[in-house]
Amino acid sequence: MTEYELIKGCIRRDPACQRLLFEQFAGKMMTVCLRYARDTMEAEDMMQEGFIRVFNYIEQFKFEGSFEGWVRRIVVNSALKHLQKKRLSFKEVDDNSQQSPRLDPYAYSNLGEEELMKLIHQLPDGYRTIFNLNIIEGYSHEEIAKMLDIQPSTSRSQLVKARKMLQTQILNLQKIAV
Amino acid sequence: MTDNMFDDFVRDKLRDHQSPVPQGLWEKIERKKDKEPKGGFLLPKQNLWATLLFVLTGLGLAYLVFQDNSLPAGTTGQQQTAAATNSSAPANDRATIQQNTGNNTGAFNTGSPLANGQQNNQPAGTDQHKQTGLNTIDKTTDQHNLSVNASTPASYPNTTVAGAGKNGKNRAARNDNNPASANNGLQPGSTIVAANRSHKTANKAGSPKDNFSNDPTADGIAPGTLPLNTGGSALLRGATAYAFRNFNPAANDRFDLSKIRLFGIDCPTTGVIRRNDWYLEVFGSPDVTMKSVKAANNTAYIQKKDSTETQQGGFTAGFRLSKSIGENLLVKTGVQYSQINERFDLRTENERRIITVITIRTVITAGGADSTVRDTSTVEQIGYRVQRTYNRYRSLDIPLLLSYEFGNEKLKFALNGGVILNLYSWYNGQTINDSLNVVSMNSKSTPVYKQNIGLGIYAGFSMIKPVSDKFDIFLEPYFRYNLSNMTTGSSYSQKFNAAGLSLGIRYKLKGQRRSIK
Repeated sequence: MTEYELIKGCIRRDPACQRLLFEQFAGKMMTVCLRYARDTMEAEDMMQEGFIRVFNYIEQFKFEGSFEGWVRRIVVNSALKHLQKKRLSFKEVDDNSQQSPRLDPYAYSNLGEEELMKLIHQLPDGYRTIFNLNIIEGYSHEEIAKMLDIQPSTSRSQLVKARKMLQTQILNLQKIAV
Repeated sequence: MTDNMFDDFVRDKLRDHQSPVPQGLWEKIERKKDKEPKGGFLLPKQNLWATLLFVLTGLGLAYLVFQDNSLPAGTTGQQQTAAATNSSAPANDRATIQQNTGNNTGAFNTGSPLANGQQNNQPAGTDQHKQTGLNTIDKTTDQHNLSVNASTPASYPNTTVAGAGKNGKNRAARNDNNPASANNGLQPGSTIVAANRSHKTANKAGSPKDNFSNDPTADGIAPGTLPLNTGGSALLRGATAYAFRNFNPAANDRFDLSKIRLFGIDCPTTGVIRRNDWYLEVFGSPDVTMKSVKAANNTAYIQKKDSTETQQGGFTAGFRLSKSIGENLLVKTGVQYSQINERFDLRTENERRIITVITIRTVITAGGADSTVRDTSTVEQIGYRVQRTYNRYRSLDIPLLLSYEFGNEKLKFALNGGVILNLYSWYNGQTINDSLNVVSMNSKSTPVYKQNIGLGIYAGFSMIKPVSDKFDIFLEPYFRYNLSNMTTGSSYSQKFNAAGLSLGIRYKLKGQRRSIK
């Protein structure tokens, strides 16, 4: 079944097509949700809401652009909505270091996806959200500012802090390994 | 290394990474997506027939209620005494019935009845009253008493004429307390004239042998007048005319009511107060619901169903239009919405959940340096999960009730009974089927319950308290029993019965009372 037929089937609310669509995108969308959520249960809730919205609004897809990108946007928005219900905060974490640590590529080149996920998971809520939206989803700071109702400067500073914290954690891991 | 390289590395690693999906997640999504239909609120979009029927019923009822049956404005009971001119009869022997022209003058005078009429020279004593059809009355002179000249008599709902009948006795007379209640007057321009048998007029030369002549004043009868003894009251229905008060039955004038053949008169019996009220009732009721489930040779299903479904009551709200069909009886119909709430809890055992645990330890070496060690481990938890869903059973119904009302002006009671006709039913939530599988109640492909559950029996007892001229409040405990079961399959049957306490307001839309003495 082609993607076009699959989407058409979902528009007709064919249960088999909906199941197929879920199985096709569930793995990637679960990663998306795990990156935004605090724990697995929260990620599950985000997935549920995201896919329900996908099925409810699928007839609005105009067959222009990537369907996966469309689904991803909906899931990301559902995740953000879920976080905003819990009052996402953009706090500045106390950090006395003057600059970002020097990180060689070999320090992180062997890191696997699961380890990276865990590192991102340890970030504070605001850092984690901005990092995901900017670095992985590709939203600009202006777009992030509109989505989260913050200033673009806040988005930029949060990203810098997030990156710095991640790099510090990777360095610490390297020290332990050594 | 630059930040960009790090960012690119993270993006490349994580953007298309796939994580394991928890088991059972699709089933949860499947249940929830069916539970949340897009759009719609109360009425399913596809049920246009129910909506159309609802709208037509409302329009029809509104037309019946608000059609204008009132008298032309200015209708009042007036006493008019014809001026006795050139008549040998005493002036007070005459009474006048005048007809409203609809000009709001309060005086009825449609001109000479004889100008429009024909004179029919008939032998004396012959009753020449004819009727050519239901809508016309022949312009024939009733030799004895009456000349009737009406163009298109409308229905005469409530008219009698009082006068001295045979043997000098009063005929049925009615004193309508509400003159404006007589309705459906004759067409403007039509008149009714009655003459008294014994009224003797001066026969002038050239005057016809009957009591009337083309000259409206020849016999002293003013146009549109009815020579009756004064001393009583008369109402000629349809003519929307009233006479006077001082009817004198002792006088020789006699008026034979039986000679009047105005078709369409509905003469109510005497001494009866008739009620003609329309009411609009708006009510709401919390309900206690009772579910009945039967499954032949499947007690395990009954037990499972009982353990998973808990009743949480419901409510009914709606409006009814009432019409009195007698002093004590009313018929009621309208539209009502009912909802039954239920909680569905499904407990599944041996549920597994994997949790990631990160342990951070600080290790102090012999040299005094300390380092932080992070241990990542996973823990599998085994337990039970309770899936909770709130079920809703919704229906739109038409009640058809008969009510017997009694009491006094301060407090009334009513016995209500009838049928509830289900227009449409729809459901949200989950239940278990006879195979003990969880199924969605609002599945279109495999519906569990019927969309129309047929008839129900209704019985209630009202206590009605008037709070103003137009408004009453009422309290009505009731019981509703559904005759049919609501399941589509044959392996088990289920139905709901309900008991509730309605609280409502009743508004008198229009009403009138007529009494006949």
